[in-house]
Amino acid sequence: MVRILTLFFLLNLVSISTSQELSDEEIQANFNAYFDNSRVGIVYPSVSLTKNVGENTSVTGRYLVDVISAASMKSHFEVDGVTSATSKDEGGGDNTPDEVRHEMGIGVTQILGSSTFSLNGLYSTEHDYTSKTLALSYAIPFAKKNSTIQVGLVRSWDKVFPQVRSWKRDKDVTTFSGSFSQILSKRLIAQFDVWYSKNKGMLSDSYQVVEILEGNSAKFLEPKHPNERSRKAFGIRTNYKLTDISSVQIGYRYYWDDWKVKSNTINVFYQRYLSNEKIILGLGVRSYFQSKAEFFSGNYTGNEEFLAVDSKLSSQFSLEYQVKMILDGAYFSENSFLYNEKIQYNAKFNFYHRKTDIADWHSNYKNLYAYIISFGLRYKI
Amino acid sequence: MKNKPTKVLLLLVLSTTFGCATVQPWERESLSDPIMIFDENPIDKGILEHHLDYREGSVGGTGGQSGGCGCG
Repeated sequence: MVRILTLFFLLNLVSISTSQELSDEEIQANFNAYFDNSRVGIVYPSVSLTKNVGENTSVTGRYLVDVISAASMKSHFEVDGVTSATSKDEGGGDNTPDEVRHEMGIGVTQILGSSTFSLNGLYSTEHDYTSKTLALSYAIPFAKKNSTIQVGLVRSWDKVFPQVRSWKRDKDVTTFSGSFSQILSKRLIAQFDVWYSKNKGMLSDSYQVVEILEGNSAKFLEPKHPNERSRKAFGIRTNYKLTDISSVQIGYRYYWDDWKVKSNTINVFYQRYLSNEKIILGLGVRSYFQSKAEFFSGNYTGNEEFLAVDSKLSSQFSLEYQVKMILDGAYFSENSFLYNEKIQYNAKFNFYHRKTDIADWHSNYKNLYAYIISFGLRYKI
Repeated sequence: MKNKPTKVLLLLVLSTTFGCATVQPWERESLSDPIMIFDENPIDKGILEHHLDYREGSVGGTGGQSGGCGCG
């Protein structure tokens, strides 16, 4: 469930641009792969379709499947064997761990006068976790479309039932978001975001193990996190057209919550056209600094009110580098197989390095090195 | 003005509203360029956002939404 990056989902809130128009009709297919130095490997192909059903309405359907490497699952359950939470040494309770997650999403976007209304629903299921999500967003431009305000509400109802436990628990998440975008000049646009999320229920990971040292012996307990969390963030980002063929995005985000986690994030992303505007090359870097949750510790000596070993809650910093390339299908004018003016090819490579102040409870590494590789295409219908 | 985040928030809001000049629709050629659109490919962004949500204790405030998983 939690130990592995099993899923992602983006609620396609209306992209803030300079106009309120429906997205292009398209089919998009992507293949993504994730690998890191703790032996986790995941591939997750996805496909989506966006189709207009009238002048002012479009619908989107999306399907994604995660396939997780056997190495990561095996490692996972071996750990639980240590706690004697399951009678099997590996493979979970039924010895046939489901390594596939399915996710289905559907959404509708409606233009109402000058404003845009969007409703998305999602269902995700895997062997130890299900999630239902509903998302609403509303965007309206004003001041001759120089400014746009957008508000969003996301509600998730999750069920957690770890394979090594006999219980089933709920996790509910309600998120409000707002953004204000402003054209500042003919070459500069800025966007300001605010975000608030209330999490309730099962907020810890039952596959993790907290080691309590008592003299020369040790005992192993399940993590205990508070069952509520209020999370807040704001961010600002700008996009500036440097030249006719290049732009630079700069963003900053500040985050804080009632578990006393605070963070600062800075990112810069440069894009440039190549080959007579048939190729877009993107280069990005992101820097992140975080303080630890108040109850997080690398060394518990007793069964305290809260116990946490999740590396996410440790003080840390991370750096991420990205190289991205978008090729217009017209670029392949001498290759009849790849040439198609309606197709856009995408390729992306990310390198991520995170260093925590306390070593990860499972891998014992302070440094996480991860690689994300993506390939995809978008076909304009 | 109770805390530092509130002050920073106010400063950032003001910074986005001061000095705004109305840009007419026919003057937005540069702004309508694909390289000038935030999150031009939301699905693409979702992949990265989720990977970060799982590995870091922070989320939100970046214009997109991720969720629906067991990532605490």
